[in-house]
Amino acid sequence: MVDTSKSVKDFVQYYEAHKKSVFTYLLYRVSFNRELAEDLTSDVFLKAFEHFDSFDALRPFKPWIFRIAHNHLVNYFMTKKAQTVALEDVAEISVEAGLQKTTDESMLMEKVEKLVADLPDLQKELILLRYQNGLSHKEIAEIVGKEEGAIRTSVSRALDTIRQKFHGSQLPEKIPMEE
Amino acid sequence: MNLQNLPEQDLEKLLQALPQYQMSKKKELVFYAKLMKLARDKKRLEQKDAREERIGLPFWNLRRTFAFATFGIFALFIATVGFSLSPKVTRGHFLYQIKQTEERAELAFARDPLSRVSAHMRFAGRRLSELEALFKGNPELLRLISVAKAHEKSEIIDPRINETLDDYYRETSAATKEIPKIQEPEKAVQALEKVEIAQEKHVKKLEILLPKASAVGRMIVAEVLVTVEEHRTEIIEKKIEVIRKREEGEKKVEVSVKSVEEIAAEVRKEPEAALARFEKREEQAKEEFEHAKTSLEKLKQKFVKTEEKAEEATKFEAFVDQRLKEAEKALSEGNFGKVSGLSRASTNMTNRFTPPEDENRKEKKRDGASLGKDEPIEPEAKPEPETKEEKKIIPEVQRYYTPQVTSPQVFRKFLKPIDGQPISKHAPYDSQRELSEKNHRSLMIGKITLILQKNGKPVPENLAKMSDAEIDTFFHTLSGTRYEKFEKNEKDMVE
Repeated sequence: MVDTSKSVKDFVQYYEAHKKSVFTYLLYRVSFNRELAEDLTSDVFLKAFEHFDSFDALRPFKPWIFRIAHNHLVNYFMTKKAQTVALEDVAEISVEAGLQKTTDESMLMEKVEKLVADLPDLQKELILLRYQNGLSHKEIAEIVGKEEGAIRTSVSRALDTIRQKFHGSQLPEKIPMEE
Repeated sequence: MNLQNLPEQDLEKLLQALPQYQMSKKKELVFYAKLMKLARDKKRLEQKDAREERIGLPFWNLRRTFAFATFGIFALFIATVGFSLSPKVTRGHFLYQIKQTEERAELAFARDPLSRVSAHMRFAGRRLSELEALFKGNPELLRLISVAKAHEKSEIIDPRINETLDDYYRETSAATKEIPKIQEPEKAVQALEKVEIAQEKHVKKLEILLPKASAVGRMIVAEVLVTVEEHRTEIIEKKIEVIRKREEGEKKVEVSVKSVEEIAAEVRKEPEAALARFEKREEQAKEEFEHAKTSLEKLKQKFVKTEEKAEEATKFEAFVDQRLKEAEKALSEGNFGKVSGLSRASTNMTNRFTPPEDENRKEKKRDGASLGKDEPIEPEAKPEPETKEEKKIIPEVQRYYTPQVTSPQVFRKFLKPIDGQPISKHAPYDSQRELSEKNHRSLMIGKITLILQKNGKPVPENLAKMSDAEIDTFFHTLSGTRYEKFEKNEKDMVE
């Protein structure tokens, strides 16, 4: 049944290793519309498989797949509008080391998560690629098609925005609709 | 924590710790289906190009494509069904219906009650695995939800947990309902053993789950644990009863087992007591074991005193000895449910066993065994006087308790109808438990009268006016067949 050729097996391994990262990235980018994020993730990986022959196995997979994800998302935004859902309605959180154990810590994490979700689109993308996915400024620059220096500046600004918004007394309960 | 003053490194660490999300299984399956199709299309395209160059027969490609597609769909179906049997597929999962359908199909293929017992216990095991998955799965999610909802301290229990628990009890009940349909002793033993072994595995699973569950979850697991242990004890007792009947040469048996749902209902009445019982079960198992050993020792001493030890008695001793050795082994392994079951069964058997008498007395008793015949009955030899030491220790009630008076042969000989209703001479002892309420009451009154008369005690005037429950309790206390009450009364009497 399954194509047992080396390329499919290899691809499935890459998929299993990176599916959560890509899905989470897309989820934030489409304001936590889960169904949409799932469809986009599926499309991204299928597109990646179609062009898998062109992937250089000597280079890291993550920047390559995120480039595809970024481009696919740009195409999507050009054609459709995203809808919002509340963060707490998103199910199936993957249990990662990042999840804290105490109630205070999880409250803080939830606030930070909302702050990131509330960032302007570019800053949000940079924070996700830089910190959640561990990509370098150079790799991010290749993905989004900007200069490395500009990326460094934008990342720094994004961090400042987070700090400023945290200091604000009222935090939005729901994520505003993407325009 | 104030983010504004947080050093950059710490803020970065916080951002690195943002939670990751995962796709639903349904979407993943859909993705894999598409990926396989894409891979097949890709390969087919590559092969088509190569083949057309060599063979140039387009219709051959069409057939191969159709064959691949059919095989692919079939394989996807198998993969889906296979995945549906995973414990992660729980109630509420979109594949759960497939799981239920598969189980119904499996049951339909079960040809006899024994196969159905196996199937039901297998499904019960799956329900427990699902329960485990529900307890383990997404604990952080439950916590996050509870935090998000106005910082409530109460835990949120997934309703699927109670539903899965009910399903577990239902499967076990369905298995035990098949057992009365099995009349051959050998197969009945096999069926009871299947349930016993399955429940042993369930208990181990629950014991592992107990410390991992949340505080409220722990109560639920403890309730299930106690229920399963109690039910398993009952199963073991019944099994030994059937083995005994098989060795006595009986060709047909009628086994009725209390349903696990009944036991669960009793346990649920006092959930804190269930947890306490769970924690004390080691102590209880040891007490039951010691009591069983003591009963057997007393019986052996009686054999030695009277010098009556025929082959049957030796076999019986060996049988009970074996059971007690199994109980001892189970005790050392921490298998307390098994210890309880074996010990209680051994005590009951020891209490009910009639030591064999010499040939002459056996012949005479057989002739007079049927009811309704007006034959003179030879008076029984008086029991040997007890030693002074025993008189001090043994409470009054224990003097009523001798193995002879509980034997079916003796009962039939001496039993007379109390309220004019005859008692069937053909009904075996065990099936008399299933007599109508009226006959049961008559039987109990008859037994009590006999025991008291045999021991030279007056029959209470208000015996016939006692309620059914009081009569049952009175009989069991006298005959020692419920040792807890017996022990309690014994202590009361001694004090």
